[in-house]
Formats: sequence, C-alpha cells, structure tokens
Amino acid sequence: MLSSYEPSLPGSLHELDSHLEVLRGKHADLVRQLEELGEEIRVAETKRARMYNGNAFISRLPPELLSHIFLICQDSFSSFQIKAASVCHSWRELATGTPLLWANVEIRLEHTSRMASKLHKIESYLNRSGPSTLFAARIHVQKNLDFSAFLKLIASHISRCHLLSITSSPETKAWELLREHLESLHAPKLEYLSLQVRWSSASVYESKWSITPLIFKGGAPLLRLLQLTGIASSLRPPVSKAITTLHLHGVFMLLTVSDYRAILSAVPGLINLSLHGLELLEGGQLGGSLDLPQLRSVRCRKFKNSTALLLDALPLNQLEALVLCEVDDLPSFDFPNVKALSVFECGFGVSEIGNLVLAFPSVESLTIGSSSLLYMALGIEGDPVWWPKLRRIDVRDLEPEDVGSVSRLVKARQRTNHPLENVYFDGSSRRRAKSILAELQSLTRIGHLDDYLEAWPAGHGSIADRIHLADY
Amino acid sequence: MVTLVTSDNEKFTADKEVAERSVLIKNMLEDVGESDQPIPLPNVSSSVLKKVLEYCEHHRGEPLPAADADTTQDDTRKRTTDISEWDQKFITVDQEMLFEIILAANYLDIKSLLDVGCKTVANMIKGKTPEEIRKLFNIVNDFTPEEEAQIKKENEWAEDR
Repeated sequence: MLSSYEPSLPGSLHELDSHLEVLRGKHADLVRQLEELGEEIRVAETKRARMYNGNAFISRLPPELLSHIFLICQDSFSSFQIKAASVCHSWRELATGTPLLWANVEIRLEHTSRMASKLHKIESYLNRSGPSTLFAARIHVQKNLDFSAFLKLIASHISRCHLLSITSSPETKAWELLREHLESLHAPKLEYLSLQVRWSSASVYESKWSITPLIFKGGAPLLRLLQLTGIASSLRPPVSKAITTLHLHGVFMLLTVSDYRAILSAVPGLINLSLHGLELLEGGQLGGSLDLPQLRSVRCRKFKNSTALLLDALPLNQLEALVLCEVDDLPSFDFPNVKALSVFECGFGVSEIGNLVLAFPSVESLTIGSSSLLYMALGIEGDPVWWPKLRRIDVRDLEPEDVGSVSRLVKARQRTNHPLENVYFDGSSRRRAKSILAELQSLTRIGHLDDYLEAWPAGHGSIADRIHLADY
Repeated sequence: MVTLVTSDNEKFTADKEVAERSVLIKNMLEDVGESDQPIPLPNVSSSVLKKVLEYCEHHRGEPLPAADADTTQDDTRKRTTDISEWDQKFITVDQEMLFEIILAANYLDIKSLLDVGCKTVANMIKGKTPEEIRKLFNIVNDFTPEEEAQIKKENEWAEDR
C-alpha cells in the first residue's frame, strides 16, 4: 500500500510516466501561481504600507522642509544620512536625493575583505552628492592596501572637491600612487589638502623637494590650507598666494636653505606656518626675513640643528602666536609682538630660558607642557617683573615635581601686582595639582582644558572652542 | 490693527507689528495699501493661527532674520539644534499641531518659527534608530526586498563615520 490516498493510476510503466509528466506540470503551475500570488501580496502590502505612511503627520511636510531637517540632524550626529535612508521608502528617496547629505565622505581602509563595500560607499556618495555639490573626502589607509581605485574615483570628481585628506600608514607604494593619480589633475575648487604618508624602510619616494609641482599640475588656484606630512611632504602641489596655512612635516625631505626660502617665497599670503622636523642641508646662508606680510602664527616642532636658518627666514616681528615643541635650542631672536606662546617638551637649559624670557616681552597667554625651569623662572620675584602682560597660563602634562612651582608662580604674580587672571589645567595636570587647586582658586580663575593635541593653527578648531570653565 | 481670516472662516485681529513678522502678510499689506480689508489665509486653520500669533506676539520687536540668511550649499556653518526655553515650551504640542505650525510658518514665511519647528523635529529624531524613528512618527517599514538588501549593505558604511 503506497498511502491512504490511492487514486486510480494507470497500470503500465509507460502510462505512469505520462501521468507523472502531467502531474508534475500541474504542480509547477500551482507553484508558479503561488509565487505570483505571493508577489502580488507583497506588492499590495508595500503599496498599503506606503499609503499608510503617506497619512502620517510628518508626511504632510513638503520634501524641502524634511530635507532641511535631515541636514540639521546630520550636523548633530554622524552617519545620519544612512539612518534616514533606512526609515521608509519616501525618506530613502528624499535622503538619497539630497546631495548635501552625501557631500562628506570618510573611508577607513583596514581589511582587503571590506574593499568592495568601501568602494561602493565612496562611489555612492560621489554619485548622490553630484554633479554640482562640492564634496569633502577623507581616506584613511590603515594597512598596506592598494587604494588606487579610491584615488581614481576621487580624481574623476576632482572638479568639485573642496577638501581632500588622505592619510596612509606605511605603504610602500602610497607616495607613487598619490603622484600617479593626482599628477595631472586640475582642482578648481580645492581649498584644503592634507596628505600624510608614513615612512617605512621599503617606501618608494623622492625625498628632494621638486622645483615644479608633482601633483595637481593642472592647478589648484583656491588652495588655502596645505598639510604635507611624512614622505608626502615632497609631493609638491602647486603653491600660490592663496595659501594662508601651510604645514610641512619634513623629516623625510631633503631641503636646502634655498629650497626652504623658495617654498616660503611662493606663499606670500601665509598667515599660519607649521614646520615639523625640518632639517636644512648644510652650506646654507642666512638671508634675512622674507616678505610674508600676513604671517602671524608659527609652530616649530622637532627643530634640531637648523633652528637659526629656519627662523631667520621669518618676519619674527610680526608674529602674534608661536608654538615651540621639542625645540632644543633657541637662538637669540626677538619676538616683540608674540602674545600667545606655547612651549611643549623643549629641552631648554638655564641660558635658553633666560633668552626665552627676554625674547618675548609681550606675552599675554602662555601654554606650558612639562617645562620645570620655565615655571621656576616665571615664579622669581624681582624688578622688573618678567612678562608684565601675562594674564593667563594653560598647564599641560604637569609633572608632580612642578606642582609647587606652579603654586609659587601664581602667588608671586599676585604679590608683584601682576596677577594671573586665568589658569587652565588639562585633565592629568588638574589631578596632579589637586592639592593646590583650592588655594589657587582664591587667587585666580581656574579653568579646564580638554585633553587634545596642541591647538594649531588659530582659527582651525581654535583653543576657544575647546576650553570650557569648570567649577571645583 | 490687521484682520486675518483663517481657512475655517474665523477672524483674528492683530497689531500690524505682530502680523508683519510674517513676510507673506507684510507683502500683502504693502500690496493692498492703507485699507481695512481682511487678509485671507486659506492655508491656516484658526487653532494654528492662534499659536502662530502667540509666537509672533512674544517675539514682537525682535530683529527679523535677513532675507539671504538661508543656508546655502557654500554655507559650512554648523546648524545647531539649540532652542530658547520659551520657544521650547511654546512648541511642546502634539505632533499634528507641530507639523501644522511648521507648515503655517513656511506658508506665512516666518523664518524664526520655521527654524524652531524644524529644530524640534530634528531633536525628536536625534539619536534614534530607524525603527525608533518609525515608531515616533507612526510610520511602517515599506521597503521592497531589493531596497532591504541595499540598506543592509549601506549599514556597513556607517562604521567609517
């Protein structure tokens, strides 16, 4: 017995085969009908859901208002555009059709397995933000990965790129890739360019500063903030008077004094200059300060043997803000108008501290990162009072042995009628200075500094945005 | 004084200074000149106009935003979601009224009120998942399977920021 249901069946094999053929045909037909019905139900359900959503109060808003609300949301928390495109069909249509939501793309390349997804991402962002919206692209390459496909895509939209930032971990071909894909580009809207490529022993790159541009040979006339770090510093984009902020991290760059002076001469509109680890090749001559009439803010980091040559080219009389970080010697230059001075991890001896005190007569605001001698020097009571205009000190990375010096400094300023109006501490310094905070608070206003890397340059995430007063 | 007539035929009188916080009404008054003619507002109901006039009365005398203060593509300023305490209380209404106020502010061209309304909606959305947003606004998932598949892929993008 085959089953309890036993229809009458043909008796021969041949007839059974034909019968089975018919049954299978009927079955396939029913399955197809079921699938069609299922699809019809899905379509009707989707239509119903969309009609239902159309009746929601929020659906009464015209698209331009909802789109405006999306932009407000996006400013307040990241990746909102992806969320908005996941709520419902009409929100998705609106979000993907709002170019400004996709005008800021950030990609982190960490694994080869995610390359396709990341490529799809940047492609979608560039398409959705196009064709007339300016966009910003930030690419972080965190492994030794070939990112040429990303560069190709960006290059194909470069005419509307206003910010390009690429950081790469040691990647043997990064320098070459950047040169190859950016070489002949014309970037008419590019205002901010930051290229950072970390050095490795296997890196392939040219260390000499080129006289002619190696990238963006077609020009980048609006470029105003240029940051070249690591071995990217020799990539040499076109520079012009439009540039107001220049950061050169030139540890791996071979510069002569004439190269250095030529670079600065090519950017006469410079306001902010940051030099990191530049060492000038021997044989250079001091040539006096260059004509940089707008220069106001300079950061010197990791200067070793070329400090005099590097500073000699700058109009030091004009400077209003100076950051000295890991600078071991300070030749006898005067900085008569520097009002904001930051000193971080400088290995100054007693004579350099003496020079420092004499060289900056106008300091109003001082940031100190671990410099015991400077605390001590400023705490010495005498006539004349050092830095009579000093009103504020920002304390970073305070060492336990300097806590007493800070306290003496504040009290000495008070006694000599040149009191400090504000003393700010970063998190770790505040914890170390806990024992003196109450006393200091009776003498001056105590504030809290966020734990951030030095604020530079002024106006780009300025110190004012990062500080808030805290009560103790 | 100005007489305003709502969509449900109710008449409201308001000081010219108060009513003219609406650019639409201001322009209409300029068009009709010195006249007692009532201004018809066919897109605004009486319950909504009452709220709008309450807002305009409270902000009477404050400087009006410049006509070109709109956010443009080049405008890279951060849009904030800060709302003053009085405005927050004022806009604490049910969703239907909230969206009606926004629509009225848009129609009447009262930029500051429109800002308050849009920021309020943005604040309601902030920090919520798509599912929570659906619940909040009483909407349902109406994606096709193809869209669902695409969304699943796009969600991976968020990890880059």
